[in-house]
Amino acid sequence: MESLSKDVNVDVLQKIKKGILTGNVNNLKKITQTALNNASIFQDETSISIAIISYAIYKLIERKRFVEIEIPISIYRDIIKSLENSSLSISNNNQKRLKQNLRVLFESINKLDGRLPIYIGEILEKAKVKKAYMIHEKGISLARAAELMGTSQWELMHYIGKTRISEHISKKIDVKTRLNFTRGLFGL
Amino acid sequence: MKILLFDTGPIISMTMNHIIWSLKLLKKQFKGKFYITEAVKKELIDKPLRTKKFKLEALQTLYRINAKTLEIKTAPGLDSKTDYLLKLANTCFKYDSHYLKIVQYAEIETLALALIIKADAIVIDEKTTRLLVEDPNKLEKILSYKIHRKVSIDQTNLKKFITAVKGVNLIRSAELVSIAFELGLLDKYISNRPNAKKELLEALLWGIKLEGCAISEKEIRMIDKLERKNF
Repeated sequence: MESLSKDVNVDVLQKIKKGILTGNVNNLKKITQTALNNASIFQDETSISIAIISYAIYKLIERKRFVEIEIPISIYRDIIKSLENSSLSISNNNQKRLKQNLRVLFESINKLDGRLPIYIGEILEKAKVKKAYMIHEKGISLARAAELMGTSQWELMHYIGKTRISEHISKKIDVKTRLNFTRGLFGL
Repeated sequence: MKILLFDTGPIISMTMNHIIWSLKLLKKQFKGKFYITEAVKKELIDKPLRTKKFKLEALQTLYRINAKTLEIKTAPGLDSKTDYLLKLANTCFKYDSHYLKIVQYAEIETLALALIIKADAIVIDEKTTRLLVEDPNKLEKILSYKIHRKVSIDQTNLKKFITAVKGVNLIRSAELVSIAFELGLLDKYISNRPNAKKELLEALLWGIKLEGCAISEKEIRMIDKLERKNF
């Protein structure tokens, strides 16, 4: 893992842990942005996993504010512990241990399924699509963004159509030129 | 023989708007071939057939292939040309010394095939590949602004890429459905409401946009204006 990506990932994980402990939703939101920028640039498995995890945890904490639910302390502890262990694995360049820790982290978040009025499992799936959109918004191609986040282009096209991502388009070839060219192709 | 190559996006946006059937009629008017690459076929059909979501849409696309409206095309030298273009495309922009991988194999394979078989145009909805071919400076600005880092262009690689893809024409599903509208292929959707034709065109363009075609509201208004003679 590149050392720049490594440092950012360690920083993100530590800030997520702090965000959970303080319940500071705004900080968690900022962290997801940083994680996403990192994932867009380096596009490695670790950065992408951390981007998804940070978003899932942010949504979890955000929803907890508005819905009166009990998240068992044991699960909080598991998540915090996995964040610490992941951070340590990155610092020690221990890829094998890192993969295990990230898997435990995903499993801990998934355990919350059924304990909340919403389906937490879906958060992870939706997180992938949302993150893929955000990566695409940064200039990475749609297919590449979908590939990086492990979602389909069908899903992503369906999602990005509802956003304002297409409002700032290059004027190099204007729509009149493109339309006239297409007319020519069809003999009009 | 005239050739139109399709990327994944336009097939998706037209299928999701239930107008993919119009491709058959468009092809008749075009008097040529509509092709997709194997990689595009994998994205459109193979992947969603392994899941439950978008499985029906994948089957609808498969029907078009079986009916020969769309044909899967390859060509000698496609792999090596794709690899060459992909390597160039993904080494055009960098942050610090790190190259940004901005495009994926399927998109570039379509580009490569278009060059080999001298396609008249590629139908592609997503904006990054289009910007890379048509306006890379704009793409660099977007990358820099959105990633919040200074992104620079590797001018040598960009120049090689632009030279390699010179002559490729790109259109979108938005232009395609506008032509379908002009040709009257979608007239069955004209109701007896006031301004029915204008309403149909608006519905088509917004439908395409809402299913992922990179067209702006301003461009939709422009097409509306350009098509007024057909109302």
